[in-house]
Amino acid sequence: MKNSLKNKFRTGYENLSEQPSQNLWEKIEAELENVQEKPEIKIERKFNFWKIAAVILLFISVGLLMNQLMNNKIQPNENQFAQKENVEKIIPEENQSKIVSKQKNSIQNNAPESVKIVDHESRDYSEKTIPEIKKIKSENEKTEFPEKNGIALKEDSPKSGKVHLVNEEKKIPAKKEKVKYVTAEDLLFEREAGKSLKEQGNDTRKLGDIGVNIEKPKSVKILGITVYSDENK
Amino acid sequence: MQKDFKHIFSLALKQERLAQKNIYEMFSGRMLAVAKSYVNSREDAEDVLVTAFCKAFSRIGECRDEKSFPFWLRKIVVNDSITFIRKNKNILYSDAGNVEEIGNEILDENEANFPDFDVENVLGQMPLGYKLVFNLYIFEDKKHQEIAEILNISEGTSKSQLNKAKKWLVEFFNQNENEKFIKK
Repeated sequence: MKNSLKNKFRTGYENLSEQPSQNLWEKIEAELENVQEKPEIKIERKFNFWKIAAVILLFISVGLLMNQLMNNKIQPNENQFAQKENVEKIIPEENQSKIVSKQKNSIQNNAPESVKIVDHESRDYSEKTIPEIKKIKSENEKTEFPEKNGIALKEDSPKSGKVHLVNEEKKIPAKKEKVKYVTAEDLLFEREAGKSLKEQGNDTRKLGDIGVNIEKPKSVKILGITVYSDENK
Repeated sequence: MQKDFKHIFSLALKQERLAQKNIYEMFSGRMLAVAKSYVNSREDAEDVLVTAFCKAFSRIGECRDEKSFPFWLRKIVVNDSITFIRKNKNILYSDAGNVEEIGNEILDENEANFPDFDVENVLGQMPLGYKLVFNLYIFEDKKHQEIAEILNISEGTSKSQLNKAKKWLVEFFNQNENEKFIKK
């Protein structure tokens, strides 16, 4: 169908042409310059992103490196800390037990002890006369008071000494109780901690030591003056 | 002429402004007509040309060679025209329900039956909705499937739009003849 309307349409369409306005090229030129400027900005932005990424990477790598280097040093330090904490834990327990024992003592001193003492003394002084016992009782009462207040007795009498002994005997079982607080685990831990401390002492590595041994010169001459080293004499 | 254009094309590849201006002067008239056939107004067509030429010059490296450049440029102009219409004009495609095969003959009729035929005049008066499909089908040799993809419509809609365009052409020519008859 060479002469069809369709073909006429096509040929007519292909021959269509229109003169564009004068300033159209200027518009295109301006737009082109805009377009060409844009990629440069994009490149700059990309470059900035690279910078940021590089800095972050640097920080991470430095952090990891430091972490690795410090790891060996930090571990024993942590043990030391743990030890201290352990000691601190033990101390208050001891104090508490002391306090408890003191309290017990004071309570015991208040009532049954005095009775016991009386019994003890009554046996000792069974040979003695009743007024003497009374005296002892009164003295005992006297001596007990200052003891409670923690003031040492200055009396050299054997009676007061006995009172002391009795009190000490009472204290000893209280002290034995403390021993129960130190467990086998604590002892083992302290032993391990001691070992690691020794290892730390043996560790001769240094930060920044690459492993290259540079022999130290025995003497150096500076401006005509020889300086001798103290080491390796 | 061929060698000249090859030389100009190679210079344009290096983003030489003078070569670009030469190319613009060669194709602007033709491309303006193509763009105008889609967007219907000279000002809009010039706006389309600005973006199309910028795209063509900045991406000239994507063009295979100087021989395919005119077709490549035309493709850009057509695409930009369609993009322009999509952005600035709302086209409502009527339902593709009944695809009647009428008016198929009108395009196959002898051109002698249409003595005072002016493509620009006909296209200028054709409604925008039909014209996109009509232009793509007749002048860009696109199949309905391709048109459907380009315009984001269904194939059926594309077919019915073309039929409507043909119907419209029949009516248009009848009216013209009637007017002539009245004038006579």
